[in-house]
Amino acid sequence: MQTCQDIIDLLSEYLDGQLPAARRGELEDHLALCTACLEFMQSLRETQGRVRDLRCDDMPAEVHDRLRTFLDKTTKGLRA
Amino acid sequence: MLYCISMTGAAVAGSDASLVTSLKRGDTAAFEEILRRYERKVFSLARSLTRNDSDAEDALQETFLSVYAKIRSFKEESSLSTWIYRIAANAALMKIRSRRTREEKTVSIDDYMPKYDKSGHRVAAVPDWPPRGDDVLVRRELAGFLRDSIRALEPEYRTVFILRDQEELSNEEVARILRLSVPAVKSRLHRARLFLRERIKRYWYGTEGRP
Repeated sequence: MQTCQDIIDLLSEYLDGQLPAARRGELEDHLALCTACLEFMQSLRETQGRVRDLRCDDMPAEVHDRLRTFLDKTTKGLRA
Repeated sequence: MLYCISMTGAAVAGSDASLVTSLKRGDTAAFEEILRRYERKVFSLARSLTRNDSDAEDALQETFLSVYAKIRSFKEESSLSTWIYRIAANAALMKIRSRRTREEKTVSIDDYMPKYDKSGHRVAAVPDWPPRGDDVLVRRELAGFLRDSIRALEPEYRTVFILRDQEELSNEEVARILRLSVPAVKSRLHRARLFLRERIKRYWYGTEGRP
């Protein structure tokens, strides 16, 4: 029988969909019987969702412009 | 002028590999196209890693200067994106190390790992996460706390975590970028996620500082 520790060690791979079917089945059997691990899994999944919400791809126009200016100066004399 | 239109114009719409070939021949339009493809990704990664706009901008500039200056030594054993991410991660980590010695504090990840009894079963209050409100204000406040928490991760965990869960690269790509084994990437990622889960739990219970 797998312990809670065994299960929690596998939760990232489980949430990433990377567990082989047999191990996934064992893990889900445990979650069906263990409220503490089920809640742990749910809170770990929620954590991932909240982290994804933090992502920000914006790059200010002035950063873009300064990058061009910087490279224009620093690559003079260099040959790629 | 570096950013002119290519005399041949051939490289601009090409694959990453053809851009590398063109840039090695001195085609500056190829460099402009590499910039266009990767500058936002590099800045996003650097900002996530450093959590400091000034350091992120420095890392961005250093990354593309290195790309330009070192393209001839790029042996193409990895993809261009892996190579650029590796340069960017290293540039950002240098900034983190420099800042860390000055002001940044990390916390021990071990203090946030789950606790088990002797038989390997969980020792936890139920419910593990308390019932809570989830309005805009709470979300905004929690987002600030989470950003601080990611910054508090030790750099070796933070880097893996950002590349995997924010940049959404695969375990294999992260392993190549950081020159780690895939099991090492998985282990660091899992511990970083456990750390953040526990930080949020303590935040909900009011036992961890709020932003």
